[in-house]
Amino acid sequence: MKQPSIPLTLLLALAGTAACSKSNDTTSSANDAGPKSTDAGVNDAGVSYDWTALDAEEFAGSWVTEGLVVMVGGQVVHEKYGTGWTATMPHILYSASKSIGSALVGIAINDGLMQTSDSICKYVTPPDGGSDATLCDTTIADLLHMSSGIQWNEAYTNGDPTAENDLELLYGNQADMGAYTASQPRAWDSGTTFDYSSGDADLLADAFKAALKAQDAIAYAQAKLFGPAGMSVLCEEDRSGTVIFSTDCFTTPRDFAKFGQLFLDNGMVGSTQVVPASWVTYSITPAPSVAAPTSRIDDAGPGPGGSYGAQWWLNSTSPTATPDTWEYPHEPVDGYNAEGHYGQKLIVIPSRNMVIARTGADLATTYDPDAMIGAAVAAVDKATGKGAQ
Amino acid sequence: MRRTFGLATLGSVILLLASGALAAPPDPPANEFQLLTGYVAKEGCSCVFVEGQTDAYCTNYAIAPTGYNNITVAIDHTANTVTATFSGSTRTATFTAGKGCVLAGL
Repeated sequence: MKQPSIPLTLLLALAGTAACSKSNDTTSSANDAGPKSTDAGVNDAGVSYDWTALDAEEFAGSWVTEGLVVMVGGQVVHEKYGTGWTATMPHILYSASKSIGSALVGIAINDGLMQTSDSICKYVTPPDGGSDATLCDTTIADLLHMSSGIQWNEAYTNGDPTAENDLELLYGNQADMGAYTASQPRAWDSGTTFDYSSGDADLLADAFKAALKAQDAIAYAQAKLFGPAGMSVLCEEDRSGTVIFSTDCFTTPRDFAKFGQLFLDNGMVGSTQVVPASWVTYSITPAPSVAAPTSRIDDAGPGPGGSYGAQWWLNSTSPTATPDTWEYPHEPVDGYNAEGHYGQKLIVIPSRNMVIARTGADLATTYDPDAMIGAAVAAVDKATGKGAQ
Repeated sequence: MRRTFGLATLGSVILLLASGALAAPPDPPANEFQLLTGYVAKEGCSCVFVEGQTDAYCTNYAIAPTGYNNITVAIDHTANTVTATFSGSTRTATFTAGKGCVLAGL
């Protein structure tokens, strides 16, 4: 299962039944009427959008959509919230937080604090009884690519919650989530096999913290990323004081969209290079273990799987990959996504110059964004007269 | 691909030895009820104190996916805590301004 970072499928198995009683009240509240935001669907250039189909998909059906922001050309052209939610309320991103962690690592690399080729043992002391001496074969790049080779169960397949590493990681008894990850046995050679692991993300967070030395990670993130990007973000820490890269960042849907826009703009905000352009490219380049056109990720969630970069999901392995290998058939081939449990989605589509940020609480049914993406892209294509893939 | 021993491993051993003393093993893992209450306490805490949602929303948000409607949830707006109790297990998450919520260990 993809973007799972949160356990509940297993807990559902434990309970025997899902009792999700949260209603999907589709009444949208007024947004905070920030600059360039409009539900009327007309941007500054006079382009008129029809969001009827998009809103019907998100707010009139069974999905529990709590926030939806569409940006085109760097401008918010549509914004809508579910009952009880407003534009100023931060929302948990779950595993979409991983993409933020990756951006922070990219900035730290640009600052000369670490390298993708570094062994994690340059930063992290292997726990006693851990995944043996070969742990040091694992590089920062391997962690970014979910290819550490460290054995990890995040699949929710056997009905035993105590066998799920990510449950123990997040809700168990581990003070240092990265150290817990490092303590697991080895399953594969480092860098050879994609195996989605929130533990890899949190071991990366441990390395990031160590690379900063005396600098506070939250202060660094604020000074280097959140502040310059104009984003208000809170990322929680584990009991060891390490930022949890895997799942626990919170921001508003609008600032979530800004993060996508930052990548769409090759890391630039105005004239400031916030994230290195080379890191944006690296982030959306398929990991070596999932780079072949036919090697789409086997994924139990919605969508066939696509590919994976450096803590970003990629809709395809290449511009020429056939649609049957894409993650979402209605997303243009060049799209890439930050995705989290319960329906947190950040969809970045360079060919349409657009970003979609969606927050939700689809607790009982795994959210499938494909129709939402299709409706949003169709609205943009109709308004702009474009449509080439 | 399964792990094979080779020169890279030997190099790793040297690097490991050079890095100094080994760290402690991980903390003893939680049982399934401790995981369950840990989930509810942590998710409920972040929902109330970070997202700013209502107690009613967050109680349902944290409990509903578990299927156990009889989990007890106590939200303390003075101590900034959320405590979940079920089947002999009690877990508490505490909110700190600017930091968010942290789930206490066992």
